[in-house]
Amino acid sequence: MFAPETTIKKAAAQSVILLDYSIGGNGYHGSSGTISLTVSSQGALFTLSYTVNGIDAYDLAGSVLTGVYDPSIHQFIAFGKGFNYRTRSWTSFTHFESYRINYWYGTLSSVMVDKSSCDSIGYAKVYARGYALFRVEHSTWWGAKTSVHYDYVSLTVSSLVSCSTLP
Amino acid sequence: MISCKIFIKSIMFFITFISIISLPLASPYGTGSLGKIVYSYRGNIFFITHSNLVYSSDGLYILGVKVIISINSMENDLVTILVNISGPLYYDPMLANCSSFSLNVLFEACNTSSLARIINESYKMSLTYMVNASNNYAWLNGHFIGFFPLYVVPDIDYDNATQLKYVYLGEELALITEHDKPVPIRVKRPYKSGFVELRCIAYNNTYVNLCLLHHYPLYVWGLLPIKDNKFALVYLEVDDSMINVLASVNDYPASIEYVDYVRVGLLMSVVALIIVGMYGVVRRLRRGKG
Repeated sequence: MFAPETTIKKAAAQSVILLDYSIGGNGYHGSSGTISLTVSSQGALFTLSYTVNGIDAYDLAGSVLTGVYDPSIHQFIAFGKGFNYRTRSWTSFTHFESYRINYWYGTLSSVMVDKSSCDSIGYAKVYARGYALFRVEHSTWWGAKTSVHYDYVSLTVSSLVSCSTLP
Repeated sequence: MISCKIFIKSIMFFITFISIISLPLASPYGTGSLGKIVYSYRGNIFFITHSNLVYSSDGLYILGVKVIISINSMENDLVTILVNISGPLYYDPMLANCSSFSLNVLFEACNTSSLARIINESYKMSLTYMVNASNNYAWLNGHFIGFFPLYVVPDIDYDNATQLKYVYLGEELALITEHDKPVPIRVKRPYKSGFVELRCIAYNNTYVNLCLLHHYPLYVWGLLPIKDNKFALVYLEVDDSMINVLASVNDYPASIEYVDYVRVGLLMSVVALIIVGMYGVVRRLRRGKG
């Protein structure tokens, strides 16, 4: 049985395993580049990387799926999730043009364990679903003209784990 | 003369044949002819009760649910919409005793556990909603629920969206707007070995978050009434099989645009000052030369 993340007590031998990650975003200005995002889950930190088309102004959201594995009993004792985001706004040197990007809302469901395929293939699917919304504002002519939209970033993390490693 | 008659008859037969096979395509419900699948989702569903502002889980849920929407019949502007829910049904004793005053907290605080067991591998549930085809308001078993969140019978055009007001489960649905225009939400989905950027407009209230493109919600997160105080807590995204349909009607604008007239006035004042200043400088230079 696994408990909510906040009550997990790990012994020294137990390790947090990254089972899956999901990361997505949008870049709006500048050259293409890779951005890293740190996501924590079950006391462990994971660094995810993502390449956006514009590294000066972007939105980025990521999630991880983790499991606490106890080698003494060869079982996962808990599964967890993590979510994080990054945004970067940008203004040109003359302030003629600018991008203002803000995180608006995000959610990630509980971690779920789908054992419907245990009998057929011997593996269960562990996963969580979520999304993040970002507000993107692009202005030109020193703010005289502005366009606004939101970006939806879908986040789904899933992994197959052997049913024999489940309690 | 005879061959001419045969020719005309052949033409008539051809036109009749084409008309018959075109009938389903001419349905006012986009892809959906009556009784056929009009939309489908993938996601997860948790069954919960909601009474006196307390949400509680009975431990039952479906992971990897498929939800199929079909329009069954239409009479006097009322449409019968069938919602078929299928997937493996779980029972989780850990979830069964979980309750909260807030929907978000309920599923933040309550994880499913690996003690969950499948109690029906191919569970199926069918719900019938009566939906008003002109305003999309729905009834389930005679109870008014408000806006039907899984499919929109009347086409919602981007330009008309701000004029339409809806309620859902007794609370107004707020459309995300700025400067009196709906703000488009861009959703990327895999399409033809690449991606398509779909644009929808978002409605939110305490009970549901959804984003619409004409008839089609791209995602629906929230409560769906299924019986008295029983609800399905749905986490649904449009099924990949529908992306072709969505791409073909993807005509909402990519963003809203507006002009800040105060800044325009300031800019014009600055430009006018520069012109006047330059004119003054040129005149002084000319006088100096004279």
